Amino acid sequence: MAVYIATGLSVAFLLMLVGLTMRITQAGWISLDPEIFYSLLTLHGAGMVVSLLLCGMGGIWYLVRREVDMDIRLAWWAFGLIVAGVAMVIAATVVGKFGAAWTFLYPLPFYNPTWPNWSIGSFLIGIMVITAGWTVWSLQILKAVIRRSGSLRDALGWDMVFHAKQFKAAGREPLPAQMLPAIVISVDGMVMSAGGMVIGVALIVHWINPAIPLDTIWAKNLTYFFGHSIANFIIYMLLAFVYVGLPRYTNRKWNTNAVFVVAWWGTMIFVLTAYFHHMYLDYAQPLILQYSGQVFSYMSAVPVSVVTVYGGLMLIWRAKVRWSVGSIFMYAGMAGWIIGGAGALLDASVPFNVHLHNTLWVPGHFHNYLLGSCLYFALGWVFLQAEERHHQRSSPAMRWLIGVMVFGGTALFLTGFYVSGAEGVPRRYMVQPDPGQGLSALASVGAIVLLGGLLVCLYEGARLWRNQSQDGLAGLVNAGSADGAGSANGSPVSTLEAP
Amino acid sequence: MNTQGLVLVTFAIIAMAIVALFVVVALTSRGPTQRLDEVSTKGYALRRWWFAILSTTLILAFLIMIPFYPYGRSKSSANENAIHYNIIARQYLFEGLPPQIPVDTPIIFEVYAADVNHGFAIYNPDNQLIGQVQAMPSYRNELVMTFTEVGQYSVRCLEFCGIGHHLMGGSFTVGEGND
Amino acid sequence: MNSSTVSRSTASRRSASRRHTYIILVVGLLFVLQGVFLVGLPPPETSIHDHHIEHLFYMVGGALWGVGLAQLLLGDKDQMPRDETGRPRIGHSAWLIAAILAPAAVMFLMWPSMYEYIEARPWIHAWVHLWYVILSVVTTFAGYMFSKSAGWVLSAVVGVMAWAAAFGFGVENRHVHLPTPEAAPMVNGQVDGAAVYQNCASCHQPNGEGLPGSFPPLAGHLSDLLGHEGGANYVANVLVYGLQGSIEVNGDSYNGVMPSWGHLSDAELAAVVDYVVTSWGGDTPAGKASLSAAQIEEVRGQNRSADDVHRLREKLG
Repeated sequence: MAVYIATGLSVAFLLMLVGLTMRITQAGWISLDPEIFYSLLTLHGAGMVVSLLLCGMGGIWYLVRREVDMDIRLAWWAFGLIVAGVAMVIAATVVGKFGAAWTFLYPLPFYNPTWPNWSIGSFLIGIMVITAGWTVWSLQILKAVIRRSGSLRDALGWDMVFHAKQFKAAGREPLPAQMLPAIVISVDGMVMSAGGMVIGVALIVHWINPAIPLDTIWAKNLTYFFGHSIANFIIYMLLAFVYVGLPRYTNRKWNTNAVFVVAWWGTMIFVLTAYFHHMYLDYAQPLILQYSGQVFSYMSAVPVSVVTVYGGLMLIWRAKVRWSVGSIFMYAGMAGWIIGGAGALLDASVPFNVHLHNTLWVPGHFHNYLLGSCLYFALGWVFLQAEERHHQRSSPAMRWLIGVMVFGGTALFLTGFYVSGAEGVPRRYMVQPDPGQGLSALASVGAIVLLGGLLVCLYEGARLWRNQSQDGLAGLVNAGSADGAGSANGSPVSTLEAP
Repeated sequence: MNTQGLVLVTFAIIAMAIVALFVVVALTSRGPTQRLDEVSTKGYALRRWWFAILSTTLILAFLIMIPFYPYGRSKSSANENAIHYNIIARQYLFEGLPPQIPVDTPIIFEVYAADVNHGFAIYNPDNQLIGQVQAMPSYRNELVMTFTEVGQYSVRCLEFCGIGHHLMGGSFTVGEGND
Repeated sequence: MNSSTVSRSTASRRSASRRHTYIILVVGLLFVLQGVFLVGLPPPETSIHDHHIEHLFYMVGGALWGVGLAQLLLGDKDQMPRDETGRPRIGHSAWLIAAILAPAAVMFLMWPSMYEYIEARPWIHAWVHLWYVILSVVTTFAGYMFSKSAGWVLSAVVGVMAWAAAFGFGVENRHVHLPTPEAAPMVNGQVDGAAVYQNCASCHQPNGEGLPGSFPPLAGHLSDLLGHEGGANYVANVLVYGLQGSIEVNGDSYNGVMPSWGHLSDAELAAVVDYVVTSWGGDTPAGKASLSAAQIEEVRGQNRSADDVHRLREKLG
């Protein structure tokens, strides 16, 4: 787990610098060749998704392994495949200046390319290799979760919902909360891999023999099915950290009951079927799919807000909460998720989409999710580990510093996106029409503050990990850890053990 | 205020409400503590209300929006006498963009793409995005619009189409009188 | 360890699961037979798309066989093997390799450039179909050997993949053609260069002054270029293949992207060059070709990239 998360977070941090480079170009503070800008755009997109995916994969792997024996070699294989794929993507974009955006929408990678032919293959094969690594992971998790419960039916909690009385009478234990993301994502993950494999092979065939035609709208459907699903998996996987972590901070159990299970069944379906919202403005798409796009997108908001986030709020309400950087991040991540969700729902409404499609609103809402929720969940978990290691937590002053810099920076950064989007500034533009440039400057400032805050996190996290005390604040730290030091059962030990 | 302005304001209000909610709930942790089972009983009861409100809002919103969907407009009788323009999007310009378009007349843009995916997006004289449609190779998409404001409109490509994407655009004037 | 809620005697459970296995095998057989007899080999009238749908039957049939075979092999071993501490133990991970590679292999077996070859050789076609079945069997068998439910999930996955592939492999479904290009605009029996220039105006501006930083001015500059040694050839290349990369014009640098205009006719390209050169401070009297259509035709067919054209400019000096 540690290897997955460490790699994921480090790559993510580097890619944030790439993102900042793009933002300051758009702000007009520096100037870049369009080839370079767009290849960085491609790298940032693909790389961020994969790096946060790694964090989620590592987390789920670790949490499932606490319950079921799993072959660690498969975890290394999955990791190795993903790293190899990432290397190919980096080679394609940095060396080859492949710049078709991470959505590699057919026929753009192939038409009149301003990048060398080998880079197309490198990118596409890299994505395929990453998908293969993901599939290995999915299958392993699927199997482990089923082994733990005995059957697919039990792993999905069928009897808990439909035969509740017999379930209780037989004295059976309800599923732990983190098992639901594990089973849902491993099943959905394989369906996504199937789609990814079909489009991947089709594109590679076209790369090798450009005379082979592909249907453009078919390609777009499969591409977005793949892309939408993989991005959504990230947040649902990282959620498992909150399911396990927040109870530790509040000394309350996360209740899993029939409603909880049904909510996850909903997610299992909606994650895969909401992708139609990427095709609203392709009028050639069958009409029924456009309607269902909005319906499923709306429905996907329900499990999140009614069950998961509400449950999180209930955990905090009038509880003795051990507030620390870890718990603050986990809590803020849930807020970020709902806020991003509001932005998403608005964009997923067809009449609004006409005005927001492909404007900066789109990166606004997904940075809201990835930065303001996924990253926070991952950081929350890392800090939980660091804090529990020596039963320490950060001083209030440090918590305020991190909070203001990270949350303030994020808010400023996101505002840049959302307001630009509402003003119709298009996305993926190196040079933006008014008022894009000014807002990009604002966003860049926000990003710099955020990155500064993350560096402070790095410093503070390392300090907690190594149990170094701070002069003058040592007293506060000791006072902080004396009360409400959370349960340490099952807490993981050092990084050197099983990942 | 235009549609997207309304959307932005709605979003801002929701965002601030969420932050407020989370802060309030977090502050309760400083106060008297309750046992989880006590919290759950009231919490679950409240949740049923929240579920009902959310679902109703979403269903109503969806139903209200359906008449505003942009699909199939070219077939409606109101647009029978629309003026048709063939627009071919290619790297990096829009061919067939008419220099002048009459005001208050139904217009149908038939949008094609010659090479890769593009996006045909129209901005009014106040630089607000008022309509857009994708341009996909081998397919034809129709954008039906009636311009009520006179002035200079701009067109931008909104689907990433290569390193000249940000340079791709055009403009037309909407004026009185017939074309 | 949670067992199934209903408890039955071991023997009756064994025969019930045996029955299930046989049902699976028979259904699989029906699918494959459906593929063989209803499809056979494609008559010319069957579209590629419909034929690929029929591949679906082979693959789903094969997938069901894979699950059935695995069930037969595992026999009554539905008691999970456990380790010393009582935790469930997993099966051999190497099955995953087969489970992942086999579907990818099927996709590659559908390689479209082989279609003509295969259609002309029915027995090879039948052989390929057999391989679809075999690989589907391998996929789900391997999945089942790894974890029972993985076999079922993979069956569904194989079916979905076959169906998805049918819609796009080697087919362009609804090919809408671009509206017929209008004939080159004419004036006085000659191609109207000013009308062709409408294509250029959005970047180079209606008066040829360009856009600072992005698009160089044409006014005056184009005739300069034509005056250079090799300039005419260079300009022809720019028009036919496009240009990208940073360039310097009159001391200012420009870093835009010019797409290729090869889809316009030689006459149109020659006319627009003539128009630009004579309109804004040129020194070629109107009517005398500054760049002939023949010169433009010469540079076609060389498959240059916009980058290559940039290098040509550097050679101009």
